[in-house]
Amino acid sequence: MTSIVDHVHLAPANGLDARLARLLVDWLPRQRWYGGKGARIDAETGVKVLARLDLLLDRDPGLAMVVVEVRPDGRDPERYQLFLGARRELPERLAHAELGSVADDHGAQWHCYDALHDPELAGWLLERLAAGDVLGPLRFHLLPGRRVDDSLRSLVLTGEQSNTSVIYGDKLIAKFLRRAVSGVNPDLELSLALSDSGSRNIPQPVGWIDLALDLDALEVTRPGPSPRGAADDAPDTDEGRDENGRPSFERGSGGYGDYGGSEPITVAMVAEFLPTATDGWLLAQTSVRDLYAQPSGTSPKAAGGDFGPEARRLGKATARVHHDLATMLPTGRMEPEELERVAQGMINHLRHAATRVRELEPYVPALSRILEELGRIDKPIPTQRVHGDFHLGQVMRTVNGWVLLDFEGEPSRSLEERRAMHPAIKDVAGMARSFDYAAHHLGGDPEAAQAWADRNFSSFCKGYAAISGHDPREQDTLLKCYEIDKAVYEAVYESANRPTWLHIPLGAIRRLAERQGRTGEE
Amino acid sequence: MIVNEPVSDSPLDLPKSERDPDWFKRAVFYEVLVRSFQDANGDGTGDLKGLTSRLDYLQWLGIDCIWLPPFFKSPLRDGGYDVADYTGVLPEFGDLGDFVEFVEQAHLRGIRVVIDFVMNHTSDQHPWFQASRTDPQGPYGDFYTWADDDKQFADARIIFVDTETSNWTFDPIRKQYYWHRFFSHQPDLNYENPRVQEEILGSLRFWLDLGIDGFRLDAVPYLYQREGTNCENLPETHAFLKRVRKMVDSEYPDRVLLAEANQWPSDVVDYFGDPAVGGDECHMAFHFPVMPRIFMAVRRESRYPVSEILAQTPAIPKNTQWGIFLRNHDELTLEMVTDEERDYMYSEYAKDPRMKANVGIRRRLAPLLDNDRRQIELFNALLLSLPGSPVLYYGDEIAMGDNIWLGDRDGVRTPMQWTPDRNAGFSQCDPGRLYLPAIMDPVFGYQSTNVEAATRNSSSLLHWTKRMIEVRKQNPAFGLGTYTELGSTNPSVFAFMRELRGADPSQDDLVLCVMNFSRFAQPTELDLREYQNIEPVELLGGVRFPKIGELSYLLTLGGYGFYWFRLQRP
Repeated sequence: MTSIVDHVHLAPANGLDARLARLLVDWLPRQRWYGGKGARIDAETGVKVLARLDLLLDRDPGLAMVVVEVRPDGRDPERYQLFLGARRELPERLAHAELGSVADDHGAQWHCYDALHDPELAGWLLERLAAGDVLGPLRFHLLPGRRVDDSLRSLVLTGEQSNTSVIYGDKLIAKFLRRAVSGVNPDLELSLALSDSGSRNIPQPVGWIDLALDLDALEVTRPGPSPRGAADDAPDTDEGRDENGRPSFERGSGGYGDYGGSEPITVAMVAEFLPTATDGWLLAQTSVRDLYAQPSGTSPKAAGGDFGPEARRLGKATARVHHDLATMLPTGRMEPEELERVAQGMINHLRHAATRVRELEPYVPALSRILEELGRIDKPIPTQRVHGDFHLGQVMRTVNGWVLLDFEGEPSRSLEERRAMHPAIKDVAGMARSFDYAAHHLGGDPEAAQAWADRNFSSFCKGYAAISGHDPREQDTLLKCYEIDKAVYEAVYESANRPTWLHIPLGAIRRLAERQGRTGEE
Repeated sequence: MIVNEPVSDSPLDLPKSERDPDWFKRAVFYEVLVRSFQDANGDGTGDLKGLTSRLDYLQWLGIDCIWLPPFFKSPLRDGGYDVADYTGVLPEFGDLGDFVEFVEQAHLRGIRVVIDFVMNHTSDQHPWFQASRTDPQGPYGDFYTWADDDKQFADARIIFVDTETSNWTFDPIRKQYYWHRFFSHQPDLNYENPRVQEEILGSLRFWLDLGIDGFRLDAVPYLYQREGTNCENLPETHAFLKRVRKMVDSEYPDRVLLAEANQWPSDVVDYFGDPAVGGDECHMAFHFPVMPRIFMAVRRESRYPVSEILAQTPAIPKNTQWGIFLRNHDELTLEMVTDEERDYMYSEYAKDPRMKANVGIRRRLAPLLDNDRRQIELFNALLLSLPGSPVLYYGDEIAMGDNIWLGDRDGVRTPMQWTPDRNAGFSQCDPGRLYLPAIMDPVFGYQSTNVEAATRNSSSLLHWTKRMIEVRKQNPAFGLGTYTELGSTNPSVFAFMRELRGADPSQDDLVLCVMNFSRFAQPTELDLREYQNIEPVELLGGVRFPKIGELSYLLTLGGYGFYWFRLQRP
């Protein structure tokens, strides 16, 4: 494959886009990362291709990037970004990734498929990253000092919720974000900041891909056919290339205007892959399973599979990351009035949740009293950028210790919310809840489960304190309130999605309502 | 069965093409105490003649090299590591003639012999020390390190914390303190004295001239002392080892030096010497920390304790090799784990305080693992496949037990159990005359646990071990290949590749090892894209497994199960 891209253009709306849109109506709802599950999509108007970037045209396989807008009936529209491959003959190994057949403008039939599953095309993207190419609005950024071996063969990881990750060899992992959102992705933002701070507790970022395109402007000012023709506008002369010989989107396809007005859309981030790592959830399960297999009454500390030392190391890693984030990125303070607002927000959240999950009702008065205490804290609480959705599934044990992953924040929140500052204890509370889930979800003896969760959260806090100088449990009210808020959120989620797990957050809510404090508990 | 070629007594006489300088990288070692293996003369103590009579057994098992702990003249206050004569055999073991006969017979069976050599110290009964303490001005006055007080080298730790309170002991005869890193009856030799160096080199030559294949150099990190240091791993120590190596290379090619340095791997690699020349100190060194971590990993059902230590193990020079072991004549040493881990190991594996000794646990493999055959097999599979040459400890191949009621480390040094007859077939003497009683408990006692019974039972651990050694030898990657850990989706499943490049890809020897550290059945997915289209062949049964495809390779393993696969490139 050549290293210079022949064909990059933003395809105008034409018949092909409409045909692609019809394929997507069927295909999108079957994807794990698709958010609008359950709602009908109109076959004609439900999916709209906002932009198409032909990256490899007149080739087999061909490659295009499309940004689409989906309007499920009765829901807000959502935007997705996809790399689509096209082949005249589809090999068996790609069959599972096929969207369907589509005719090109010459009437030839092409199999259209999710290009990330095709090592040839995923490899092509990696080559662009290695070269730091700029293909019109699609920009490949390689961090200074990083080298990429672009011969590595790709493999799509399965089982992810909102993104699709491709690993290259056992060296790199590229996380392709499926949602197209303007503004820097918090995971990318925080990873870069942590990398700059020299943190060893994250996978080292290598580069990223973004798209400098203002989708909202595009929709309003959707231009007509390209002045250079629709089917093939390869910049075969020097015109349309910048001084480095790269195709210059702005000049080459004049009339598309200025896209610099909004922040670019993060398309993918590439980081070192940790081949021998496993996530904390699996490791914790191993320990819980071992405890359940012991004679009853065995303390988690005495059990062979004790997780305590790991939890302690995890606490240390978390404290280090919090410290680095506070050093590298802005910090703030939550004044008493703000705390009152947060407390009121949590109380409202609780009351609203109790209308949906009736099992919560009996605890509303007791929990409200605790949450009100938060509003009475009369000294400001420091805030900073945090992980935001911290749990055992977001941490990985490598042979060199723990690393933290996915600084995305809660995926269902807006970008602005995900980039907001919080007390660092929010993450600690998240981990407390995660230990609780890990302990209870295998359904063993509840007492043993509780002992496991208590021991490991305690070890986690001690590890945290060893680095930060203060045990998070000293801020009992704050910690408890964030735990309550999280547990309430979980109760609503479980009640709607996994009713058999509802007992886990409910059990926690009962304990939180009963317990006065747990500083110093083992 | 693979039968080894006889070993030449003097490799110098061989044409270069027939020499085998890499033998130690492929070899399976077997540690056997002369005292414990076979008593030929009926005095209740094992001897060299007895050992020689059992060589057929070791040949049958597939052993390539015997490691003999000290059999020199000694007052035996430290299992012979307190040497009283560097060139004499302990009379109860026989004489030099018996030793030469033993080496010859071993070589005829293709088995090499490595002997222990204690460089650091002697017994206080050694004539050098007696001369040194009585005649400070005499020729041996400076053979040891003497001082008027016990204040020097205060930063050196005390190794035998259970028995010693200082590294200095006052000698009432010379009325000075002498330096010792181990027991107070083991004064350290003074390597500042060139005559000490010459004497030691001379003693090494003595044994090499008798045809042995190498030395295990005991306690090498402590040869020199320097104020303000911890007196371990000093540059002067390395310089002397380089001198020893030079002598071996020029006068006795293909003989090996195996360093016993109970240190972190990052310090131990220095004992291999300069990587630029492929190593110019010891050919081999024991990898100490990997062993306790295997125990910890399996107990925790997590591969990380093992993965971690191997990831932290630096690369070693081209012509060198690690020695790895599960158990040996010493306690399961816990010096190389953190305090937290040590507490954990104690609580899991030494429930009875008598099982503890110094900083370690004095148990044999089988009782450490509750005699769980599945775990014993898993541990042995690890021993035989991790990077390094495996060192088996006598008796562990038949799952022998220990006797924690015996003093010090004697509990793991009881007579080898050959038959269900009197004294386990070890000796014809009165049972009361045995150097140590044979194990007699209902599970591990010699009536049920012995070589004869194990030989007759084709499903015994003994037959299994023999088969595993055989498979190991059929795949040179185990001894000579690189080691790469593979990602496994399951934290309880440990997977790695051993890879030896051939002249062309079809001659590559690729072995994939997958181990389940959990008692429960476990699935795992491995990223084997690099080996696409290969059909893995299970090494013990020759069963072909599904072809490796584009996607992750799914395997399921039973509790404590493991696989060794050969991947044959087309």
